[in-house]
Amino acid sequence: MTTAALLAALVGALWQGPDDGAGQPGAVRFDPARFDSVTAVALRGVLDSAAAQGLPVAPLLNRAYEGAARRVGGARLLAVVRAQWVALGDAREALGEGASVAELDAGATALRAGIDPRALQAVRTTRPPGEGVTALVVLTDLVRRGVPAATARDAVTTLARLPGADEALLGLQGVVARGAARNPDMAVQALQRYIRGTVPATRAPAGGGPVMRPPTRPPPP
Amino acid sequence: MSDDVFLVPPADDAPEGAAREAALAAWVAAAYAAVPVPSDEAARACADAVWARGQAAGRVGDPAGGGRWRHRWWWGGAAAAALFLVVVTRPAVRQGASGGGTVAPGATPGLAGVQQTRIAVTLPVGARTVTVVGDFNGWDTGATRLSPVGDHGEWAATVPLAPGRHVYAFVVDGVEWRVDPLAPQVPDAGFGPANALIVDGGP
Repeated sequence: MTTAALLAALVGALWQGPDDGAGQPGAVRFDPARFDSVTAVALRGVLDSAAAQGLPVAPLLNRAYEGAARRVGGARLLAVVRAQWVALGDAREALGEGASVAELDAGATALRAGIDPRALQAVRTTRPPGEGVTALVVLTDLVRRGVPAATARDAVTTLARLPGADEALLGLQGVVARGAARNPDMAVQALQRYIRGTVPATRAPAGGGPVMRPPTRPPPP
Repeated sequence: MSDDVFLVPPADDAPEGAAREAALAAWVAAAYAAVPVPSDEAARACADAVWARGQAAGRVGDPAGGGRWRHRWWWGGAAAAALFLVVVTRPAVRQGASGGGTVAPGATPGLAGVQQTRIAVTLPVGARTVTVVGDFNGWDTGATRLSPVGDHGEWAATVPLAPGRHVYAFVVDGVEWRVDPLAPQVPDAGFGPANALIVDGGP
């Protein structure tokens, strides 16, 4: 029976069938050798739990690999992966069951950046399932650069309704990034200038554009 | 076996979160450390016993030896069949299941949806090596090297990327982690800042 067990293990290791998601786009395979044994076991538990909930495990594995590459301790690595796991569930609740893996990952990152779940729901109303990734990434980036979350949400949802929304959103991100690089206080001004120059007056949000709010840095994670 | 092995695990009222994880990890490590090292004689006796048991199991069924040969033939044939099954059918299963590219070290260009994407960064002149690490290469710091472009500190590489969102960062000289300050960034999620890029057509 020992030989049979070894043979089964060999076949199982070589097969890596589709059930583990290895064949899915963006899929990654769990490699326990990249972690210490205690962390690997705990990580496996998190991944199994996430999979049992129907959540994608690739975003969690990617965070784990990132932590291993940065040589952070096992406890900190697990804390980050667990936080991302919880955020993935919250993102699915906010974005709906039809959200893509990339949307869930981007949404979870947005939530961990301190963005309100209602902002994710607002993005969902402007972009159909599978097409909201750019909006979520830009929303997170704007908040990270000091744009108040409500101002960023209004700007992103306004641009997301335009034809060619993704290009417009990435243009906004670039303008705000360059403005914030010169002076953090210029991030909001750059955003408002971009909105005024991009959005037709009939599509501008009520009040003539995003409301001016004092720029604030997002809270530390 | 020494009583020292039976260490007391962290109490239920121990601190939550990372502190409890650390306490649990320390407890497991201590438990391993407390296992007494066997003497050479004991280890040899154990190995001999395992070997003898294996020999006895191999002779079961046919003391003359013919059964052993058939036994080995059977397992050899089974192993060959299993390998054939894996080698022949595995690629078909993967392509059928994915319908797109696989983001992994050695990702295959040409799979549906995979796009050759140029990743570049400008760094202060003086860097000797620059690599890009991210979701697309398993965060392997040696997988994707950038090449210098011109003499103004620009480094670039073309990477096959599957559709979707990819988080990445740059590693300079193998030790210093950097991000592109103007590209979309994701928050410091407990590790450090990183960039994000989107490849159209994602799932």
